Amino acid sequence: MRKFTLPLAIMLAVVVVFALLMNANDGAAPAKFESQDDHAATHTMGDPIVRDVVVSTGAGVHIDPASLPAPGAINEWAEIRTVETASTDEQTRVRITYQVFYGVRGPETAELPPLRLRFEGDGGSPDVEAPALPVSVMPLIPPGIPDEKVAIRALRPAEPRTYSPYPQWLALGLGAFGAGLVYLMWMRGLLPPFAGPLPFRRASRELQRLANQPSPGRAACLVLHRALNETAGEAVFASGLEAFLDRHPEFGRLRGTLVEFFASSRRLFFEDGSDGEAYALCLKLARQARRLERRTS
Amino acid sequence: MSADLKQTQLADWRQRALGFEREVGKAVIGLDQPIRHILIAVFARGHVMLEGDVGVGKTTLLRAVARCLGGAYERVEGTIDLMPNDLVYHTYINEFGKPQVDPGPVLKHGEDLSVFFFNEVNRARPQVHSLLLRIMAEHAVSAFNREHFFPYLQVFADRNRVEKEETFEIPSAARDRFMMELHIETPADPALRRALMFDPKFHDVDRLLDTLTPGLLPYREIPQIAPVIQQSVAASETLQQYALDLWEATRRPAGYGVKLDGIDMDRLILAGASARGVSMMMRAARVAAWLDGREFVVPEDIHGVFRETIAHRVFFNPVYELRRTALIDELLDAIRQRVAAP
Repeated sequence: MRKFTLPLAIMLAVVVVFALLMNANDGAAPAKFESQDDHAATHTMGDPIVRDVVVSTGAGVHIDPASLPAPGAINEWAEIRTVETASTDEQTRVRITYQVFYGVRGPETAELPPLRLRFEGDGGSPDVEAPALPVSVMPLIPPGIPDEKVAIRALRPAEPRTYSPYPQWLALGLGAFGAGLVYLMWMRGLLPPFAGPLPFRRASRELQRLANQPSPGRAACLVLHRALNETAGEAVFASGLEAFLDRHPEFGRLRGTLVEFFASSRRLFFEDGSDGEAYALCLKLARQARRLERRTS
Repeated sequence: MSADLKQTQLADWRQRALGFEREVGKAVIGLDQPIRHILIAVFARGHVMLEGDVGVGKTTLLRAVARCLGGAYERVEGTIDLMPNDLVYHTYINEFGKPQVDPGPVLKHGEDLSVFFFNEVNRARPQVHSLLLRIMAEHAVSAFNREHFFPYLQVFADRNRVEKEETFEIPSAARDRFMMELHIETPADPALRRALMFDPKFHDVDRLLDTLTPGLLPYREIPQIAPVIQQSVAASETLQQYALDLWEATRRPAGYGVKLDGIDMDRLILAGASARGVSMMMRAARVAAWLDGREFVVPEDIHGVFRETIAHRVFFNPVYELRRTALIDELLDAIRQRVAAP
C-alpha cells in the first residue's frame, strides 16, 4: 500500500501545481467574449452583426494591432465593415462589425471565423482566441414561394428626423433678413409712408429738373433753402448756421460749402442779384447733403 | 452830392458812430447790445424807452449817451403830481418879490435840446404822456403863443417794472411813438459783476461820466446824415417780402404755422405791429446794416432789431396780456423761426 501511495501523492501534487499554474495564466489574460446582435438570433442578407470581444489584461499589456482583422471580405458570405479598439489599464475591447451577404433558399447556419488576438507587454502574454460565432441566416423570400409570386417589399420609409429647432431658426433668420431689408429700404427712402422727410433727396431731383433753365441759380437757391429749413424744422439763416450744424452734426463736413452757399444766396437775393455759379454750388451741396442724409435719416 | 462823396461821408460817420459806441462802453459795462441799439436809434432818429429793474444802469447809460452825443441835455423825473405845464414853463417868485415865468426843461435850451430824458415815465399822468407824445412825434410844442421846434431832439424814457402803485401805464399810442423798447438787465458775466461791485471807478457815476469824451457826434448834423443812410442802404425785393411776411406774422401768426404751447393762436393777438412800427423796424435795420459796413440789408439786420422795435407794438387779448412778458419773447422767436427768407 505504501509502495503505491507515495508516487500517487507525487503525481497528484504535480497535477495540482500544473492546474494552479494554468489558473494563474488564465487570470493574467482572461478573455470574455460577447456577441451583441440587435437582429435577434437570425439574420438576413445585408444585416450587420456587431461582435464585442473583451479581454482582461494587466497593466503594461496592449494589443498588437497587426493581430486585428482587416476590414474586407472574410469569406463568400460575410465581410468585416469596421474594426474598433478601446483600451484601459484593465481591459481591451475589440468591436468588429460584420455584414452578411449570404442569400439562402432556406434557413441555414453559418459561422463567423474565430479570432486570434495577440497581446504584447512585460513578460509577454499568450494569444487569445475568440471562438467561431454561429450565425443563423434566413432567406429574404419565404420558402416555397416562386420568385414571380414574391411581393416586392415596400420601400423602406425615410427615417423620421427631428426638425424641431429648424423652423425656429428659419423664422428667426427670415425675420432678421426682413428687418434688415426694411431698414435698408427705409434708409434709402424706398418706403414712402415711413421714409420720413428726405429734403435733400427731393431737392436734388428738383435741381436736376432746373438744369435746362436759362438762369437757374435763383430757383436752385430757393430749393436748397427749403431743404435746409425742412431739415432744421425752422428757417435757417447764415447767422444760424453754426446752431444748425450743432443740431445736425452729420452735415458738419459740409460747413465750408454751406458757408459758401449762404454767401452766394446773400449776393443773389439781398445784394446785387449776381447769379454767379449758384446753380453748380447748389447742385454740389444737394448731392453731398443727400448722401449724408441717407446715412442718418 | 456825388456817389463817392456820399460814400466817404458815410464811412466817416460810421467811424464816428463806432467811436461813440466804444466811448459809451467805457462807462457802462455789460450792456453792449443796448448801446448798439441806442446807437441805431440815434441814426434812425427814433426815441427809446428803457425798461428794467431798479439800479441796473438805465440812467447811467442814458447820461453817458447824452454826454457823448453832445448838445443840450435835460432830465425830468416822473411823479404823480407832475403836470404838462411843468415841462414847458416854471413859475416862481423872483428875488424882487415879483412872480416870474421861465421856460421849463423842454424850452430852456431852445432848439439846441438834443437829449430829453424822462425818468420813470410811468409815474407821470396821462396828460403828461400826451405832451410827450407831441414832442416825440412832431419835435415841437406850443407855448407862449408860438411853436417851439426841436430838430435835434431825441427822447429817452425809462420805466421801472418793479413798482406798479401810483403808476400810469403808458397807452399803446404813446408806446408806438418809441422806436425801441430796450430791456436792461444786470450783466450775467461774473467778471463784469465783480467789476461793478469792487472797482471804485463805477462807484462814483458823476466822476465816471466826466471821463467820457463829450460831443463825439456832431448832433446838429445827425438829422442830415440819417436820411442819407436810409437812402444808401438798399432793401432788395426779397428782403422787402421777408419784412412784409414778418409784419403779417405779427398780425396772424397762425397763418405762418406759429404755435405756442397751450395758446389758442387764433385768439392770442389783439393787434399786431403797426405800419409805423414796421417802418421804424426797417429804418433801424438799415442803420444796423450801415454800422455793419454793408450797403444792403440782410435778414439778420432785421433780427437784430426785431424784438426791440416790435415787441411793444404787439398787443394780446386780455386773457393772455397778464402773461405778456413770457409770451412776447416766445412769439417773436417763433415768428423768426417760421418765417423764411428767401
